[in-house]
Amino acid sequence: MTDLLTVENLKTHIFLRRGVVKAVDGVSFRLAPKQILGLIGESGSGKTMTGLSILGLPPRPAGRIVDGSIRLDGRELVGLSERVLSEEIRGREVAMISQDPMTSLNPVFTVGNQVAAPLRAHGMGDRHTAMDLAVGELERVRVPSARARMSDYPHQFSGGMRQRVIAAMAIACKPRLLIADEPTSALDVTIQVQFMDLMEEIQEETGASILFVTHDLGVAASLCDRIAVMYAGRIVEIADVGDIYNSPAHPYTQGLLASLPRLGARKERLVSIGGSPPNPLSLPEGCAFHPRCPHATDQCRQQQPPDTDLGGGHLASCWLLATDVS
Amino acid sequence: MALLSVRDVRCHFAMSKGETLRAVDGVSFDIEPGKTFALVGESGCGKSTLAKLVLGLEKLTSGEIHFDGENVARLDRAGKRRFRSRVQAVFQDPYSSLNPRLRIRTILSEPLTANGVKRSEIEVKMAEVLEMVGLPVTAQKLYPHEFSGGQRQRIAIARALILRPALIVLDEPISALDVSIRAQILNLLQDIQAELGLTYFLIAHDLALVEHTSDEIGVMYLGELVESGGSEAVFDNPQHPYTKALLDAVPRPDPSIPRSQGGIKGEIASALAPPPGCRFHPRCPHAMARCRAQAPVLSGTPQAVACHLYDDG
Repeated sequence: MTDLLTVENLKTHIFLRRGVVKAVDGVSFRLAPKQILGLIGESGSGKTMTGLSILGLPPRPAGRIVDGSIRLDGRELVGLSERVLSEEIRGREVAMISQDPMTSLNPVFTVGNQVAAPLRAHGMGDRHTAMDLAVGELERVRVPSARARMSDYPHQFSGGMRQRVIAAMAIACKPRLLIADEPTSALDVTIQVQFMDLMEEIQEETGASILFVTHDLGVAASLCDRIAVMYAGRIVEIADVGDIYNSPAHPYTQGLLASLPRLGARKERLVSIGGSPPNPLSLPEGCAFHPRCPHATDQCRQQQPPDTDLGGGHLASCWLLATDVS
Repeated sequence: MALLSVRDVRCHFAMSKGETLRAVDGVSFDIEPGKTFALVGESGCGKSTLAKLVLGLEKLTSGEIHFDGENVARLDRAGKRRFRSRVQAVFQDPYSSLNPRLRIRTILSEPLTANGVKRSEIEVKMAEVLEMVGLPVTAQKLYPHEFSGGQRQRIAIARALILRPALIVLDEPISALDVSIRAQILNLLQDIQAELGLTYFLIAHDLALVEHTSDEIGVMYLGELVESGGSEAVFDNPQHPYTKALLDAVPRPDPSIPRSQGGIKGEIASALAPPPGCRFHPRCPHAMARCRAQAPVLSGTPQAVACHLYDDG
């Protein structure tokens, strides 16, 4: 099966007066149709910027895609004009579910208007048909009494319901790729579970692929088919979900998993990763993780490690593994 | 004797149109010295309001809070002063809990100056707490923005420690931090507790974290405790349907554990109009006629539960 999305050597840099932030610095991955890929990382690791780059929305004017390619079903997105992006891609082929259900809806328009907006913008009907279609989308995301709630404003919805409204807007035009950026992070655990069920249902009903951006290793484990772990603008490890959790190969992935408090393991001392995430304006030489890595060698301090293929679609970028193979 | 004793505490807010918001509605628990008591629950359950009540930052509508055997509301001026130095807090967001215009030395020395500590002692005490939280003494000269999130939380912990308190209220102390530094801060809090014999009142929504750190736990729902007891007992054998649902909903970092099925439906009701009877009944899979009419009472020792399912047992 051909991939729906192919990202190759993507570099999105942000040019500030104080220097250049290499927010995304050589990211490559593929996303198969109907697949859910988790993009995991801490704040500043470049996971959100990767999602925004695919939408053609690096922060302006300072941010720019400086290199690489993003192909959606064979069509190159990097370099498309703003007009083509907004008419043919954004909201139509690729849509986004953003993090904060409190701020990503416009407080002065009714929910019905906002869900109908992408339908009208992409010529899928006049005002009346778009409103009818919008009711269907709200029903699809299980908003109770959808028709009656069309004329309500966002503040009349709870956090969980607002996140459903945002999902309805995103899927209104039947996009083939959904980018979900921390959609569950602002929700309580019981609501989180409901929303993850919804994401799965949406995926099954619409057949869309999902790029699921999160910092939560628990949420990613139960939802994603594949996981890519980002650190300092790069993917340091990518594999099927079972391989990431059962046999993590990169010391950063290993450290993250070991440092999580888990249910059933009480009062044990956690294994912590030393140090802090690097300053994006001055990344360490060589492997960006080396100052925090328990296995760092001189080679790690000087040269960036290559990707090592561990078989079965499991790639990790670490000198320990590179030397093992050679 | 309990270091902190919270007895039938209520905190109601008068809203417009004569409505009353029942943020905390009759909560009681004790915290023994040297132990960690954790209060868990979802947003809107009243756990942060309860933390503010304990810190004296919010007024009690009724009920009593006793600290070290004394009713906090009846303390005289000197007693209040002593109370404020013995009860400290570490908040969630180290980006907003430290004044960006003050150097670390000012942030740390203010509580000492306010309590009349001599200048010569101030230097010694500052060096002590900085070492305790793993920061160099030179950190004193810097401003908060010169530190990372994890380091800032260390500074907030140092500020909480500097008066050598007996009780520290930890309000979501790691949830705003990057995943890779959470374990460092948790380990630090546990080390300090062991070293100084501190008592912790932890407010958290992350149950894995709570199980890892607490001795006793209280589960809150819509202003009330629905279950409390030793955390081993509650985590091994949760009784209340809400506790069970919360535990079930925790996302596990293990893809072989399937996501919670048949979790509870719907959302937490408004504290302006809590449902009659058991406040959890609209979401409860086991709700009976009695649950809709009559509020269950928290009962049982050492593990207490407020649920009609356990009335006869």
